[in-house]
Amino acid sequence: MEQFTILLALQNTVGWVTAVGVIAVLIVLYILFSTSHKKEDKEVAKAKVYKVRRKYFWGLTAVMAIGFLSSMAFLPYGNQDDKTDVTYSVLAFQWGWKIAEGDKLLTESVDEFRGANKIDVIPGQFVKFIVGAKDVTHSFGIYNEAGDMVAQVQAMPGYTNDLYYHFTEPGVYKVLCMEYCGIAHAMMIATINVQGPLNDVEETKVETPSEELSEENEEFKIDVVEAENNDLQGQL
Amino acid sequence: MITLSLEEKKQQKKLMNVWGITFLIAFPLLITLGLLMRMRQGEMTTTIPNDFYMYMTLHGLGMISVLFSIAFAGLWYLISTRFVKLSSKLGFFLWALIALALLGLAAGTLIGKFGPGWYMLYPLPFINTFWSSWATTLSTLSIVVAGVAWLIGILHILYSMAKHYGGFKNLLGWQYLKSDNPEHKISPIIMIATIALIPGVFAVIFGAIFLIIMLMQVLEPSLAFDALMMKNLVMYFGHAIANITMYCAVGWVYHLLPEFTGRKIKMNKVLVYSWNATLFFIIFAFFHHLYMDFVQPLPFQIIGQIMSYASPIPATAITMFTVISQLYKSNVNWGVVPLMFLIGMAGWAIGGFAAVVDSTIAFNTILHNTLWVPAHFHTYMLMGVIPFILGFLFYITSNEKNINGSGLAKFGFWIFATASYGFLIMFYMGGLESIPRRYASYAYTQVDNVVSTGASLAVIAVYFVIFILVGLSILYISLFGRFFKVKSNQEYIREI
Repeated sequence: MEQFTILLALQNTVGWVTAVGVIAVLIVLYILFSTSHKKEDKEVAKAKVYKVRRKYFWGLTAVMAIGFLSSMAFLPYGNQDDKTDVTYSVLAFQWGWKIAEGDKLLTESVDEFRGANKIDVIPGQFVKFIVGAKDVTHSFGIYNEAGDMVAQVQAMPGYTNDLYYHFTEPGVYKVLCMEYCGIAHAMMIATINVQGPLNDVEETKVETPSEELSEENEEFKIDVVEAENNDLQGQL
Repeated sequence: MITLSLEEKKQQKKLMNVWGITFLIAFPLLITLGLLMRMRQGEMTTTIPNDFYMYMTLHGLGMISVLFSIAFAGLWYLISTRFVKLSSKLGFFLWALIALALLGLAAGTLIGKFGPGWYMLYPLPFINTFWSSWATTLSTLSIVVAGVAWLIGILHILYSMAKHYGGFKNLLGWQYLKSDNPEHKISPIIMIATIALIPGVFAVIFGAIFLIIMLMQVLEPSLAFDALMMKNLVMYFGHAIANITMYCAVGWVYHLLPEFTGRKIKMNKVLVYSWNATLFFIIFAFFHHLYMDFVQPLPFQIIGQIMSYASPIPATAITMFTVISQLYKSNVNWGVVPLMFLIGMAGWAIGGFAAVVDSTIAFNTILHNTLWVPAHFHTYMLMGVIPFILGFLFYITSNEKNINGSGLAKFGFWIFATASYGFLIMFYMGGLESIPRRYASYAYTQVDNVVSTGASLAVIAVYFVIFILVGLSILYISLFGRFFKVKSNQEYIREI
């Protein structure tokens, strides 16, 4: 699927469509409250309402059918390898991300897989992410710099899901976990740096939760740093 | 209408009163868990994630169990006092089972810290957990007990109705396809109850398979089950139970609103076609929970969207227009019951709009697991099912003098409704801002908008919840007064 070029406006579309629905409901409520004090014979009132209902039924059926058929052009499924510039394998685990170039996730076991939680992508690249999970179900959600979600896919143990995204806009994108996966679900962060052509990649800096959080979770201290460092050493 | 003995009438009324009181006690307690969650997300407290997720699990499982149970109980009450004899002894036994289940769930979560969320997404309850396996066992068994109670209750109603009306085809209203005046006449609530409860049978069976597998895993940790299969099972269970909660309550509206408008709702072909279609949609729409599992077979994804798109057609064109035709120029007295039923319908419509948007795969790619999801189902429940329940409770505590409710009750309801929509708007805005759901804190996301907007919206939501509780308290004063004043065998039914 070629992503929406208007993807960043998708949230706006959602908002407007819902607003139309809410306004329609409010109009109906207003009509009912303002006319209810009047008394009309049941059959006469029913006939008037059902005349509107007939038009509404066919109108709604048409709208839903057109909406359904139009939306089928924007499904996130299907193979788009022919457009892909670069492929990354993504392994979600409790509680971090390992991302590595190539399709290693298809050939290596989840225990062998090595990756980093920060990657560089060239603006304009059409990227394929092969997404899997080591332990429980997670979800790979990509956020742009404005904080809008632009794409997501589930990361399920025992399966790989292919997510395609066209990084047309440069910037620092963040990956958040979108499927509740345990105590540090809210702390699984990765970075996709979409800036300029690839130069000497700086030593990948592992991002850690703040010390304040570590104190809060003393009993369940998650040593993300150690895990990430082990992965990096394995990668080198 | 059937004729019940005074004693049987008293027992069914007593059973309904017991359910009403159970709901009125459990509901604000469960709201409080949600309040604690939003407070944490607003950085107003420092609840550790373990406790946050435990609250989330009890809030979700507790609410859906209580709401479905009382929606079912209301249906049981109307059917047993007007149409078909049901066993009140069995009814009390089922109440006891469900109460036991709720207590077990409370112990598993509050003491055992069971915290995988309502949907216990396999294999999360077994990997790196902050709760012991006894909490998993107790909580899982509790839901099994509740499921058994629901299944027994559902089968009892379906069997009793089928026996009374001469078979399932008549319960589905098929006799009206051949004749407007068939031999086995039924009231719309009978057909709606049948269509709401049949998916409940499948839901409980699939839920039982899921829960039994969970118990097998507890007993033998080396087992491993397919995560995708488990997700399909649990989503079928949860989706169907939540859906039929709404449809059970809609059944009450079909039956009771005419008592206030004086306009009878007659069975006809259009009702039969639309509700039978709804049965189909309820059963298959659940696939919309797995859109972001790209490994799910494509036909299932498409079926999910087709069914989700189709279901608002009968819901709005038939049910909502039926309600409109009931109220339009009806000179209805806007007492609490018709008022709450209408506002509940509006909530269902609004939640439905948001749901249809989310059930569009293309939109789901950026809405899934954001706050848009709790936005729509909280709308369905908080401003759909809850007003229906409140209206129903006012109805069963009514007599000729207090049928319209007091000014105090209406005042309390308007505070409740306004505050509820304020609370819900925070969720919708959160969805539009891509704030992820099920985050104990947004502070560590490194996405500036999520960090700041997520917390701000949660803080405002907290203030709205406080006003929801204020409105609810005022309603409770009115309702409890009515519960104790109205005699247990008193029945106020207006013939139309």
